[in-house]
Amino acid sequence: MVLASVVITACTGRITGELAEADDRPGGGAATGGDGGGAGRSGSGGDGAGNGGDGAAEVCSLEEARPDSAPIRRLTPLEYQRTIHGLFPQLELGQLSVAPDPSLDGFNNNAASQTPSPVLIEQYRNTARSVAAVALGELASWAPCSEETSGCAQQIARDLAERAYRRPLTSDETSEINAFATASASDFGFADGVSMIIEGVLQMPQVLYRPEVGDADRAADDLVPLTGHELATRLSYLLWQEPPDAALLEAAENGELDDADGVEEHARRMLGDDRAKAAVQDFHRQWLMLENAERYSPDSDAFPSYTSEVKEAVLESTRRFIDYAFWDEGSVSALFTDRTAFVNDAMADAYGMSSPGSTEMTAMSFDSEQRAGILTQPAVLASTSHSRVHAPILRGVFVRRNILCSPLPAPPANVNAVLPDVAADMPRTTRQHIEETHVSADCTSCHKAIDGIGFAFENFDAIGRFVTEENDLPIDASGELVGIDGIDDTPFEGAVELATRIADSERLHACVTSQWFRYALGRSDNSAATRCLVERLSTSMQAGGGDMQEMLIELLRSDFFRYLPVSE
Amino acid sequence: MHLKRRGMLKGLSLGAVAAMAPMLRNARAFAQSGEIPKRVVFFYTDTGNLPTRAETNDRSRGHGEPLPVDGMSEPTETQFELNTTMEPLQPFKQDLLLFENLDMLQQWYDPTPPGNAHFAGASIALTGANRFDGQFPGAVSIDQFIAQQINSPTPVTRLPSIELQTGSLDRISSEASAIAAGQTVPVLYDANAVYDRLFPDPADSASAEMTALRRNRIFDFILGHGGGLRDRLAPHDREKLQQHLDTVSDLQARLALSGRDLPPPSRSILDPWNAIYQGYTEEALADQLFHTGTDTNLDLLAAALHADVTRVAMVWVADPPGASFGFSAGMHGATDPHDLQHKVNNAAEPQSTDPEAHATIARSHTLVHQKLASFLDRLSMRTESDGSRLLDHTLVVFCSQIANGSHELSRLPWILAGSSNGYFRTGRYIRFPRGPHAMVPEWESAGRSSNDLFVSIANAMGIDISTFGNPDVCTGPIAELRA
Repeated sequence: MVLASVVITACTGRITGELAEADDRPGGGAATGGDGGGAGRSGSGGDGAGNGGDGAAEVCSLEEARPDSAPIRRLTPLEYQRTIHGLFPQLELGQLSVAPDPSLDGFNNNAASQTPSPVLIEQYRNTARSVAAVALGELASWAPCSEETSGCAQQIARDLAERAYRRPLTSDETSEINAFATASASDFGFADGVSMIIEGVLQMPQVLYRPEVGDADRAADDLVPLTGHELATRLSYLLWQEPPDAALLEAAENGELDDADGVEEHARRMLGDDRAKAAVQDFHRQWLMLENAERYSPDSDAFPSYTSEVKEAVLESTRRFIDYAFWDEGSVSALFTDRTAFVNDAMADAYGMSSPGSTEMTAMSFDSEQRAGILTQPAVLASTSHSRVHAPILRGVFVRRNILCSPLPAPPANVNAVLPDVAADMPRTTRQHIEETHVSADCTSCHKAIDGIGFAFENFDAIGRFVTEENDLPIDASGELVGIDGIDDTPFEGAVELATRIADSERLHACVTSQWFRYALGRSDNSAATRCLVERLSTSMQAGGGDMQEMLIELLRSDFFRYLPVSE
Repeated sequence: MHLKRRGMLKGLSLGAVAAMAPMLRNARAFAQSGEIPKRVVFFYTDTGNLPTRAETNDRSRGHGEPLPVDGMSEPTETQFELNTTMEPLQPFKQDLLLFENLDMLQQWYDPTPPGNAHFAGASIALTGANRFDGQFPGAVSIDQFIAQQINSPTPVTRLPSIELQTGSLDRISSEASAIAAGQTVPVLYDANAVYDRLFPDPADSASAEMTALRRNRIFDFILGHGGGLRDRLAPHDREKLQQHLDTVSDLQARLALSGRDLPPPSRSILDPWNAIYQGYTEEALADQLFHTGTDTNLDLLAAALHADVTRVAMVWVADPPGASFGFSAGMHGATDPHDLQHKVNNAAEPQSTDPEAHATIARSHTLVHQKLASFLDRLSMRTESDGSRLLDHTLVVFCSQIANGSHELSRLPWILAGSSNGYFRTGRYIRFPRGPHAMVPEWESAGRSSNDLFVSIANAMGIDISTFGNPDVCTGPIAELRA
């Protein structure tokens, strides 16, 4: 059919040509020797490890990683909840949920998809009103004063605003707030006035958004540093998913966050706190699309062993592994190749693993032939399955897009993407069935880039059990990694070999860095400066053993994180 | 010193008083003139309809397309019978406009490839414009456009629009409705949340003027104080914040509107919903949830339209679960309804010529049309001040993400219901020609653009536009629809 071959040529052309531009690989720039440090900016020691004499001749320069923009971000629903609760820790306020935002490029905190819809604005108002009602009833427990005077109304207002805005008020803001407080209390009575103050402050953009203007007094070289308070806000919502604590605010006041060392000190403090674990779990849950595993419900006739108890264990097993790989082992390579597994008896039983002899999740070792790392976790395998059968194509796309940042163009419009039925008298493995279908419909030239990866997981059924046969036929788990820059494309056998092949690659380290960047900065526009920063961070991370925490520290130390471009 | 409440108008700025007065006048003017407002509801579905009859594998006479009357070989504009899946709409046949060869022509123009075959439709179905990226709509959608237009320069209803979905907890944002490029709107699923948004608690017992005064003081403070922040930001951020403040300002104006004086439905309307909500993951309860969830939300919507709480709505009606139309995993060789939809619509599959497989899928579509019919019924039972039906003033646009189970975006089985106060001449089957089009590959041809339909709908709602979405796929309103 004429149309089909035109499209396929276009697809193949894209793999070799367009794909290189379309994917997330950072663009290399000419290396330069010097960093051209400006006043107050960190020199090459802190964040230029990939520069100069490390032999990384193709890494772009520090100058190319200058901050280019920082689109204003709004609080996510979780951050909003925590923020409001944080203002009145003494009160029982209830859930306070607001409409969530859709995920854009993998994460639900992307500034570009944060819409101020009429529904959301109404919800902010309704929440502010209900909080005000509760707070008014227990004034003494949280207010700095309670005498029914205009002075006290002003004090309540200023105190609340300063805590809610996460920074000192400007003098204009102070006058406006004082005036509003006085007028409200005088015209409506003290109690109602206080209620109005709370309602008003909680709906301010200063609270709902994270505005950043920087400290103009310390601007230099067309860059302006974020204020200490702005940095405190960034650090705290990223690492603890809540507004800055007293220690961070004090550091902001004292100028401790005005240099990279101060930022690092507090970042390490925060990473060392249990609260950071939730943020790291949140990142991985979104990056690895674990929500699919949470929702996955296989056909109970086909998989009777996948009880709700086993499912819970499977999900917890992956969460524990993530914690282990990030905090204990601390490397990208470990995340993809470590054989530690967290299982309990129920899960071990369902998956044919050695039983730990406990109902608690216990650290064991995977069979080295069968499993290694996150990609062989049952939860990840189940999340890329249909209800009765596993889905090599979904697995291939997942690894290509989420793990290696090498997405492919979409299939041709109106393509029939549903596999024909297997003939009853000619049993097939899933792999054989897909291969034959793709060959007969002329899809292979594009699809090998997906299938080559997906088929490596053929030994894992829909719920992620290791199997060697399907429909009484032997399984073929040979695979290939086609058309991914920097990755050896010779064939290999099975998922463990796939993991080993990619675990130490530049491509994987760059992709992991890129995903963290998206989550941390709330943007996915993939600008030249972004790509350069990601390249520098990932090169440095890889040179240092692939430690993801250290990569985050370096990100937080970078000019990109701590400065804004001077706006026109 | 204790502060006493002073006279209510003392301290109120002149500007604020002047600003309030026109809002109140608007609401009173409407009530006094007796002019009945026009409403529009986009009844947006997941899968369109069945284009093919199993007996003949004939795509030209599907289960959704009108049939000839006895003794004739072809259905005509005024002489036609409703097909199997549209049986529930029989009582409203004279209120309908059906179409042949309505296409999403934007599919051929869009330079951005869709992320998958569902995003392909969703990202252009209600915009008729270039998509934002592989997934999101790239412009304001027709429902949001109408809501914005009729509520400018001053709002006419307390809510500019309402967006509901009857599928599942997973659907938190609309896929096709957008207020601007890349900005989809949240959709409400929980009938309790819908009720609370449509019929919030009335103002407290303080006199109405004090309530409005208090409310406006807070809004003015937010706008002024927030505006100060906006002025200090970089240009791009300023725009984003301005959008936020505009939405706040809009809310302020809307809250001053009282709408039509009709009592809200009793909260007991939510009891069936709340009774079954907990068990929604079970197959059998999924059926209950489909029926109760859809019915409850449509009840609330009809009441809200009647009370002029809003004039624009988008209801995203999900495909029914298998249990609702007698399908279970494995039937007809399909793992789930989605799989069966594909197979029945795929000429290479045995299910495409299996009358029983067709009949099963047809039941799914019939159910969705039944929900449409029951919504039209609710609208026809409510009367306006002049005795006419609410339905006569409510245009219901039955539309979809795709045309059929093969993800096609041509031959859309869309329906207009309601004449919009006589603007449209209903009870007809409008058959557009299909022919060559400059931008379409030779093996396919083009019907009438859905963008044109959107122009007609906007015009019916009193919005004077001659094009909507991508102008390259829009020739203007569809004259044939007019009375």
